[in-house]
Amino acid sequence: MTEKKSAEESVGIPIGVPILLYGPVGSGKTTFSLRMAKEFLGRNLPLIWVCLDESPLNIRKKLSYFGVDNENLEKKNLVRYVDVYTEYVTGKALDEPYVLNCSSVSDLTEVNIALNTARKELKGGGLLVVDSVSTLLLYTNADICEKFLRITTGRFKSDDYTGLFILQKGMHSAEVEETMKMIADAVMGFEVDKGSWKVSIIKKPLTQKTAKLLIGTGNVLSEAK
Amino acid sequence: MRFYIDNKKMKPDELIANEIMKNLKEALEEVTGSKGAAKAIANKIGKNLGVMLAEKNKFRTMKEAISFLEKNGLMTVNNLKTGEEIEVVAKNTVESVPGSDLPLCWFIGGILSGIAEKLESETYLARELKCPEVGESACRFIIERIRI
Repeated sequence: MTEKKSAEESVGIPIGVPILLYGPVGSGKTTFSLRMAKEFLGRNLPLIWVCLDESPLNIRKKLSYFGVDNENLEKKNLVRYVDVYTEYVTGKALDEPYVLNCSSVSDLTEVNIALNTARKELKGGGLLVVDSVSTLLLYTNADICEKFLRITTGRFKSDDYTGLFILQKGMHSAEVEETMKMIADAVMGFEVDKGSWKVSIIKKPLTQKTAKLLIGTGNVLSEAK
Repeated sequence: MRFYIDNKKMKPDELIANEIMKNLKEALEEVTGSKGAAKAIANKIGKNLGVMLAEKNKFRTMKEAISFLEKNGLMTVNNLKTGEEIEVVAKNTVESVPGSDLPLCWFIGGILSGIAEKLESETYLARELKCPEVGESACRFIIERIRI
């Protein structure tokens, strides 16, 4: 069995499919993505994390809460962060070999080039996380965001990357939310109800196994240390 | 009457505006749990305001718009360059925090890009850089068309 197939079987996330993670703030979308990152990295499948909301250093720290050995994985050339956050928000770019810096959200060509560089530098298909589509939408508009996501999902799908695209519920108009859901092949809904997390499948395809693993449970999220 | 905040002399209305913006940004960061999302929301609010100001005041040029922003105490402009991208060097914006080397003018950046959007009928975004050669509270805004 290939590693990719193994990831699909055991994690239940289909390989090579763009998935929209949709839910309100604090409903576990980023945590789910971190958990998935651990699963992929654990199978030597690479991770590309596009940072718009927080610094790669923060994501790195959060990954370590899940027991991810960042230094080892970076040495194995399995991780790249496309950093659209640090320079734009703090004025100074990071200087780390595993980070590809982008100066501003206004140049999405630069972001696309960084994504392609990351894809070329890492071997094989893996996991792409865009955190978050909401921030991209706020800086740009629905048309630009849709174009960018269609380019990105098309390229990464052909390389067997699973894409996790994070969208905040209630931050955009219903029309914009629907457009974003149309772009993704699958949509997972996240919510918090009476203190527990709930994950539902809004749009297929997701495997039967994913449904069994995730619907109505918070087990994916409870593994954080 | 003038107040002092972090050694910066301010009129009461400037102080109130500065404090409101500072608190609003902190609240946005708390609610969204992310500085990136907070900046994006502030930028969006500023952009909507910029579009509205350009419409209501019928600005025909960026110079007219800048002059309006100065008259209303939002900033003091040292330099303005227009062309493929627009560059504004401003001092003492209503959001500036003396001594900080962080790009903190999230709303002002939004206002400038909103005005540019209305004038040019294209999607613009402002990038803020610190401008120490003009003074510690000076900011350079590069307002550029979003490229994809």
